[in-house]
Amino acid sequence: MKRPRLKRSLSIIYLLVFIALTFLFFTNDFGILDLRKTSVVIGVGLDIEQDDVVLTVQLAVPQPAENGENTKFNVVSGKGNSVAAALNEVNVKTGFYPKLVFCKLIILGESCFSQDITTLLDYFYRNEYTGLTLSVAACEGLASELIAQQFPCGNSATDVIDKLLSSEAQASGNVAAATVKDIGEKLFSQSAAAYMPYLENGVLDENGGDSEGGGQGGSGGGQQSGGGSGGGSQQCEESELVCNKSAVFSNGYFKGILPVGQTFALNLVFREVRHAFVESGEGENANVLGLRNCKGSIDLSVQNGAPSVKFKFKATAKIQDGGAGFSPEDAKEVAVDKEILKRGEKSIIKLFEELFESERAYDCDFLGLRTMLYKKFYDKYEQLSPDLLNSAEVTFDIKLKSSG
Amino acid sequence: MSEKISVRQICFILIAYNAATKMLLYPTASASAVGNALVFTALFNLVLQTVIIWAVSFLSSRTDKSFFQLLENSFGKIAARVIYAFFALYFLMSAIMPISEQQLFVHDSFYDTIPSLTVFLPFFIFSVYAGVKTFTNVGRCADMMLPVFVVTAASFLIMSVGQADFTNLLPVLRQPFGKVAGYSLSSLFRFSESAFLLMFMGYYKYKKGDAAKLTISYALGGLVVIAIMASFYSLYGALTPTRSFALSNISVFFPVIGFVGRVDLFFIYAFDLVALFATVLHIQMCVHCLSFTFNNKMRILYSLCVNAALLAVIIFTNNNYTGLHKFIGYWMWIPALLFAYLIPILAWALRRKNK
Amino acid sequence: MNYSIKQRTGAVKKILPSEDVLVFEFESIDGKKFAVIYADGIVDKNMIGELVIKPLRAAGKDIAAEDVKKLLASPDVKDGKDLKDAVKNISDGNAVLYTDGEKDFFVIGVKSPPGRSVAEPPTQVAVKGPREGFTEDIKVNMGLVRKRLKSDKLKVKTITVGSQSQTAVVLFYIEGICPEGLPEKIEKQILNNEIDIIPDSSYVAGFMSERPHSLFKRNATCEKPDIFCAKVCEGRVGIICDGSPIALTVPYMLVEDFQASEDYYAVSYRSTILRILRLTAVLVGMILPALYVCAQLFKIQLIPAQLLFKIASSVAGIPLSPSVEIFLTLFVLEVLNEASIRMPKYVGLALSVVGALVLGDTAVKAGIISTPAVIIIAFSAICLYTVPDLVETSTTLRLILLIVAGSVGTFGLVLAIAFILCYLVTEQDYGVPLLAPYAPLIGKDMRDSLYKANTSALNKRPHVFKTKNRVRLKTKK
Repeated sequence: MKRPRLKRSLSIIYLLVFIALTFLFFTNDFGILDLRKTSVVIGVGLDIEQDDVVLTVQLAVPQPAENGENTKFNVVSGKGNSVAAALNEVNVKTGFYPKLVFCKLIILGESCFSQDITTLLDYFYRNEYTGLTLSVAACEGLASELIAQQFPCGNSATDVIDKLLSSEAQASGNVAAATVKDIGEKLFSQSAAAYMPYLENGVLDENGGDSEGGGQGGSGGGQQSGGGSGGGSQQCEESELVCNKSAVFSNGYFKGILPVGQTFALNLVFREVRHAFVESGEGENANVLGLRNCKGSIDLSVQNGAPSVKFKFKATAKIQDGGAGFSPEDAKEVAVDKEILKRGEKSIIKLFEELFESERAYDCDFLGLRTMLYKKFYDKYEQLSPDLLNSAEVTFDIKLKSSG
Repeated sequence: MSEKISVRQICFILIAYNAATKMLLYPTASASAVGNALVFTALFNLVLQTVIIWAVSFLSSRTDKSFFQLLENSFGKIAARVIYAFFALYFLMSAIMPISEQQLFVHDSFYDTIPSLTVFLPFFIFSVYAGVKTFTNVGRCADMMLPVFVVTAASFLIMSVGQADFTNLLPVLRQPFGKVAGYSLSSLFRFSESAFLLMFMGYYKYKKGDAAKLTISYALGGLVVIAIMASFYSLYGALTPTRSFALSNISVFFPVIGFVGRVDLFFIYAFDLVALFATVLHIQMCVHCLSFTFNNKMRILYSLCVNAALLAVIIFTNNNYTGLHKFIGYWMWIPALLFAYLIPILAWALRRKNK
Repeated sequence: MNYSIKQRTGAVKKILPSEDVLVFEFESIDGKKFAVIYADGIVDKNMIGELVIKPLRAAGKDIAAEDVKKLLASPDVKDGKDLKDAVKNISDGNAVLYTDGEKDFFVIGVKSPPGRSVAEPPTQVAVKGPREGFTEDIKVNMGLVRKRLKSDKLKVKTITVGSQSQTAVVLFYIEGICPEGLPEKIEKQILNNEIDIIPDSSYVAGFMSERPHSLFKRNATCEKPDIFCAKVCEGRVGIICDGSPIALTVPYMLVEDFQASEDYYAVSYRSTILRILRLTAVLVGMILPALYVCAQLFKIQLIPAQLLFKIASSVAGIPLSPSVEIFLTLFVLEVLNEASIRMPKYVGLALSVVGALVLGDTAVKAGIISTPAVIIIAFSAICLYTVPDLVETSTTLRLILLIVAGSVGTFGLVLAIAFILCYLVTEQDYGVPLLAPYAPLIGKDMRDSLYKANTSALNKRPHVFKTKNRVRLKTKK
């Protein structure tokens, strides 16, 4: 059967297209940027220097290796009036096009606190190829120095920080991790406030950190997972970076640092904390309670035109460390005494009180109360929103149950 | 060439293809226009179109004639051909937006850096080939695509629901009514599957209960879109308008992605397969109408011409897609209202018995 | 007319003058002359001696042709028609018996062409289940089928194809189960072609295809009589070609190639897992090289970060572009594959060592190709051989997908898959769609597709064949 002329012509066209594709296949001339012409950025540090953005990137530079991986990490800085301009300078310096698709971290240096951070993060919100999954953290001093820092066991700064902000660290309630998305979502909400982890250089103090909070930082036991370089061996446990505080921002501007206890309290409310520790009592009555099945939340209600904020927290508790010294008789008792639980609840209430005080003091709604008001009581939003933080009555519903 | 299609296959089209074309740019466009009311505008449009779908499928229970035969019976052959020519023009116009969205989606999700227009041009080679195919082929493709759609859509939902904060959809119905209604009106062109169903009339054997099956299928497809939209907005909140495509962003926060890499990309590519067939359906419909308007033996020529026209539009608007989308948003609802809402209802007035 | 032996045998020898066509003249005790003509090498001479010559020793001087026939001890004796018929039968491997002074002659079936015995086919090895395979001898093959299908409804239709080879092609089908008109249609399709020689059944397969240029085959092939008979019982037509151990069955569905004979002899859930595994392996084998090139050139996010760094370390310093590197590795694999099949076995072993160890290892060490490229191509090749019947198609598709992926990228890959799917759903032969029972979806036929139900659930024949007799299993309660 003779095929129609048009059909035959179409077959020839398809053949020609295939030949053209074969030509392109061998020439690879699409102006593409393949793996070998690209440098993979794994971490970014941002600083402000005389109104210019200093962008320091940690680049993974794979080296030829017959077997297995051989990647070197280089640190390169670029400067410009925007992140994009600074990134372009990195391109100029390395000759490679920096790809941010594998970037997992943005560190904002202390100098960025004077600026609206949304201006700095603007590049990442606009760039479709970067994604909004990058973790964001603030740091003391210069981000460029932190990124360039050498860590024990040959770990790169990004790897160390990545471990500090890992989901395991978050599960212990020590670190209030945030992604670019979290920051943007909160800053562009009605509350216009966000928080992010704050990295500090140096070794822990003798008390195991900040003593102002009664919670996680209160005893040495809880500090281990919050700080450290993330290495596994004994030699690597030497802590050089600590991340158990949080920086809070309102309308894009830095407002203050939440200490260890408040960061812990923040996590109890907003995160799924799986294994936390809280102090119960002082002196001879001092115990450390291990908390499991934690469930915390914050609720806003409006009754008779008056806003009320309720911190809710439920957990099962078990004594982890007795204050009065070890005795086999005490230790075999699994059930936790009601008094101890009460004291534990008081500690948690104290943490929440301090947290809310900071919210008021900084006039920074990092707890998202205004957003909550907008969503749940839209009609009253205009009326209550301006003075919400001061006018809200704070109540607590804290229940610790003995795990036995 | 056989043009038979089964009710099951049409149901699959109404589920998978209906959802596939609406899951590219529509969620972001809705979020930009009406914020957290995006679910309600979609729901309103869905309900409206579902009613029309029911009307058309119920009309099929009253006659076994095709839409062309109904027109011919009522107005004569020439008038029927003229109406089909207008339908061809409508399908041609309705193909522009899905193709443009497909192009942007490809540039966004298939490449690490913005590629040139040329990487999208092979679409038209596929489109010319698929455009010639009959309803039998369309139906069989739908048979193949439904499982792909179900798996991918379920994956997107599973990967996003756990990370989404559904309170972002609050407060409910607080957007100005005019804004919501206006956007619903301008989105009419996105909910226009009844025109396809009109074309399928007479090519499938209607059995009792088929109208319900078709209507439920369409509603089901729409609900999947709404679920994805709700999940997407809940995930990104105020940032939703900055994310161009729901699909390429909806699953990135799924914890497993952090460990094993972007496995969701494979689901995205599989989903795009469904979207490709859904996009090409407009062209197949256009060719179908042209083959009735002129000569049934020249399908290849029609397919070539239709694709050439669409290629010209895509090249012309390559760097001005926002302008194109705005234009379509402003004007496309008018032909959509006529061809996918009014004519399907008016079809009830056509003479169903032979003269 | 002169019917002398000399004249008769001379006439045959004039047409068949070759030296392997022998004429054996002998006389009975009473002096009656006979001549047997046969082609040396393809007849059983002992049989001629025992069944023809020995009995005819007792023939009288005036014995009539009818009585000669009665004296013959062979069960396979036919009356010859004319000289043309005699020549055909001699070429076919039968012996022709002439009696001096008689017009009539006889054709005696003493055919015994050289051939191998029934053995396990190399392409369809089974761990469980029957191990018999077809041979090149059509009679043996017919016997193997008859052994399994003793039904009086089994119809066997022999046609002769090939103007020079005069090859017998036999169609098997079961009356009442096979769709009406299908055998006739196939016969017509085959006979519509005039060709010199049919060396293999693949020639016949070519005649039956409505789209001979198609990348996808249009009929199933099998070397095992148990599979052949099972397919015939489902309503298909089986075709066996003389001289070929590969039998054909039509109509064909793509899903058949993912089914192995063993699936029916193992528990159903295991069979289902294996079928899905085969499908996955074929898809991975076809797409993986293309995807690897895409990941390197267009979308590095396709590779997880840690793996990416490993790959990047391996490819750093390779002088070829990712696409050319993969193409080159694939090219080497295909060359090695082709050479190892064609080469004598003792050289083949050395070639494997040279190919796999020396070439592969040295190329990686020299930095010409990278380790991931070798792994990808090797894995792809292994994957494709899980479905040997599809290897020709799948290797070609792998190359096409690779070229599309290396030139257009990930979108090209998706488009190419869409293109292939769109093509496949259109294809159908004898009214049976290639992608059935998936496109169009035939729910009941899915019990024996990628999913394999229990034998008790396979009580109906495939609906796609539209047979009248649908029930194939009745269980008495």
